[in-house]
Amino acid sequence: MAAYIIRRILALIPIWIGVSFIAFVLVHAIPGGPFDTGAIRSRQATENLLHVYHLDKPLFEQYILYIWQVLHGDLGQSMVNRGLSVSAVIKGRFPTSAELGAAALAVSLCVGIPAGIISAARRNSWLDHLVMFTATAGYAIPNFVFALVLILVFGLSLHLLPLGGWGTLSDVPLPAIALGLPWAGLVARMTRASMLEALNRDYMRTAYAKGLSPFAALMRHAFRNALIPLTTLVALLAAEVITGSLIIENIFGIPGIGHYMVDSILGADYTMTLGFIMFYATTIFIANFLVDLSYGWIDPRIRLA
Amino acid sequence: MIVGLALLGLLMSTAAVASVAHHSKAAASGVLRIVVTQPPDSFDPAVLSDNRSIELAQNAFDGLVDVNNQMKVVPAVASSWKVSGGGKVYTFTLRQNVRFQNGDPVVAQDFVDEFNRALAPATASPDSFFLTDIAGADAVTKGKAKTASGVKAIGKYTLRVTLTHPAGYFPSLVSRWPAWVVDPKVVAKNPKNWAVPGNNAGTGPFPLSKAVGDTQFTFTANPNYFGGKPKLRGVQVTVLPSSAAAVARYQSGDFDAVVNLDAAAIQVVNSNSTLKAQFHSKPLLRTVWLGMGYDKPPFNNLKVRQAFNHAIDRTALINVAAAGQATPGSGWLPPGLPGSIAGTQKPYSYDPALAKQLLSQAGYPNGQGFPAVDLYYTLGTGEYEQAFEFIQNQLQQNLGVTIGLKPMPANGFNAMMGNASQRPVFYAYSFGLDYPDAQEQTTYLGITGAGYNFENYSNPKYDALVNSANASANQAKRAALYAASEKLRYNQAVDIVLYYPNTTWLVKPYVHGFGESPLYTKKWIGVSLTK
Repeated sequence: MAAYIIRRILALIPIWIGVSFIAFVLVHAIPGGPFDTGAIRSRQATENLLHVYHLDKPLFEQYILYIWQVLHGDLGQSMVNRGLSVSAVIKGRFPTSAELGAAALAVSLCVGIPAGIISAARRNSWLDHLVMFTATAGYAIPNFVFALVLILVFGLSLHLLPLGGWGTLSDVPLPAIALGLPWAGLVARMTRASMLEALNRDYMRTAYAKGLSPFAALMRHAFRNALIPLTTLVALLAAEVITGSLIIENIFGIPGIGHYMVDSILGADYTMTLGFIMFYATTIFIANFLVDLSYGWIDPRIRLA
Repeated sequence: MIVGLALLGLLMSTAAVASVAHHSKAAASGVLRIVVTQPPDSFDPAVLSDNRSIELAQNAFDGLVDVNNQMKVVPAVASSWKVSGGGKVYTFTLRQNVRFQNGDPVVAQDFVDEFNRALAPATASPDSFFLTDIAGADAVTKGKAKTASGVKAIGKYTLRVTLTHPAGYFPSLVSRWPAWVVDPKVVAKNPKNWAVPGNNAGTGPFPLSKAVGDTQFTFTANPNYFGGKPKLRGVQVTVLPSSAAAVARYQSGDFDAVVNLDAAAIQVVNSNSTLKAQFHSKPLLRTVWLGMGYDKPPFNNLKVRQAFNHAIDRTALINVAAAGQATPGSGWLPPGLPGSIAGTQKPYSYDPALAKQLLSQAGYPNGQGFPAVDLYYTLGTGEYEQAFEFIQNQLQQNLGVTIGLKPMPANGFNAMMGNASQRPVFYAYSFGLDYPDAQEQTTYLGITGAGYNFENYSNPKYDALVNSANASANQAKRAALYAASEKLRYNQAVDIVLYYPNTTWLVKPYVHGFGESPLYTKKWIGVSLTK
């Protein structure tokens, strides 16, 4: 097990090199650099700016300089928000996106899993059809529609919850629900499908035959076996969580990472974009790693070596 | 996204919204709460160059002079100034009672240090060109000298600036950010990152005291401000990217004012009588136009340029593009700017028959034989996003000319425009003045060979008029010369000037003195809240 973990962590190094190289080439391939802002500037001022950020050097040399800097634990300074360091922005904004994402994930699991289990247990009943219709509709409706309806009902009409902002507990429910509900639809459908597969297995018949109550059989035997595909889905959702939500963050004025990253890409803020990409690559890697580890716990037959 | 915002607008307009009265709370705290759509780039006057930063930092720093809301240059840290040496020497006399927010007194040498810092290559100031008319400035920006020979403290409170050539616009230039005075002692302690909250290195009435990430900024009043004690105790600025969400929270009492509303938010305002009464708009020193390659076919023909000018209904366009918040354009320089002819010259009439006739005279009856032309534009500015399909339709309908639309990301568009070999012959452009002097737009975008003269317009008469206006120190004469250059440009139909956009804002009735000047948001010094 320890050897497995060390091997996986060492595998990060080629991933970092690969990701940073591809990302570096791609961000520089986008037409227009960080200082093509359209503002009037003297030629000398442009040269000075390019020099300060090493952009007057050949691309390969820039890459080496960048990697050297990263190896020293410095992701560099933003080229647009010139007073800010990349790591300060990630440190400042990631917790917000992660909090929102975790809350949204909780919403989607708390709503989606029970709905999927009920649906599977009452297969082809009117309840199943209703739940699945709602789940499909929920997944098809974009999250900003939920956001607007929630704002309208809970914020503007009932004055129960704040319309936006971030910092107090009461700021969390509306954006978390708006972000989590479409996923809940997906989770419900996935849960139902895996549950149905498990319910048709021989071990279920055995479970009923030995006198287990239907509920105990459902939860202990069917659900646990249905967890494997579900966990994979949750890992994918977790990746979605950390990338933040541009639209939800925008509507609710949440100072997360999603909006900032899009702005960085559009503004050709090379250092900031690269910093985000490296950060994401690492986080997604960790999420997948944790999921792989959890398989062993869910299904003891799976051995990690 | 746009659909989402429009939907939010729709929902909000149909909902009966009871505005919560946060009135007494805001007034009692003495803190003005405003919202902006994007975070500022920097709080270092020598580094910042975006409007968001300027609008905030102008309350924390001062220059030798300032530009008032009527666009006149007025005293600031300098109480007076004299011009001598044939318009090349400016001698500024500083007030003796000005102190930085940290208590350090302001002396002439502080300006010398700040000018040299703004010019230094290591600072990499994007706007160092504001100071490059100073003798020796060029050598500093190139790294060949540490100090510019043209700026000297000739007494504790006397600053002498020598220019390389006479420049009547110079006082207007030193009112801008690269010339704002910063305490050199604070900078020396941490030259790379001194511009953090609580540095108190400026002289202005509202230093930045606190920042939460890059989304919340608190400015606290400086009771020792040389211009008098501010009436507000402070200002809280929240960054909220969605203008429609900002309006909703303004309605619920979270904010006292919202600035720069987008078209979707303006539609929300228009459908609500309370909001409508609190809505304000004012012309901005900005022009939106379509540029045509002056020396390239098909636009190297005056009749073609005139035909295009007559084929677009500017009033209808403004409703599509800016929710009605703009003025139809005639002259290239925006109205209100000395030298602009926009106030007296009528726009090219919307006259499809005449347009068709002109195009026919140019050799393209009903648009036949007109070469394939694409209109390039960027959606980065957002303000005229919906306008382009309208323009495409008008040219198709009225001239029989088919134009392709080429939207581009802002930085890619700007890079393309800067490269003469890639530059398109037909493009949309917008320019807002950094300082209220026609010299900027005419010299950097207008005259032959200017770096941003993307039309490639070249006319010795035009160049001569602009150059003599730039050199004169007589402001009335300068305005007349620029006006003559504008007339020439208009008659030659060099540009299709579409409109001059307004700046817009919402403010609660208990806030007084808040608003926008033609260049930027008004400073907060005159703002007060009713109890």
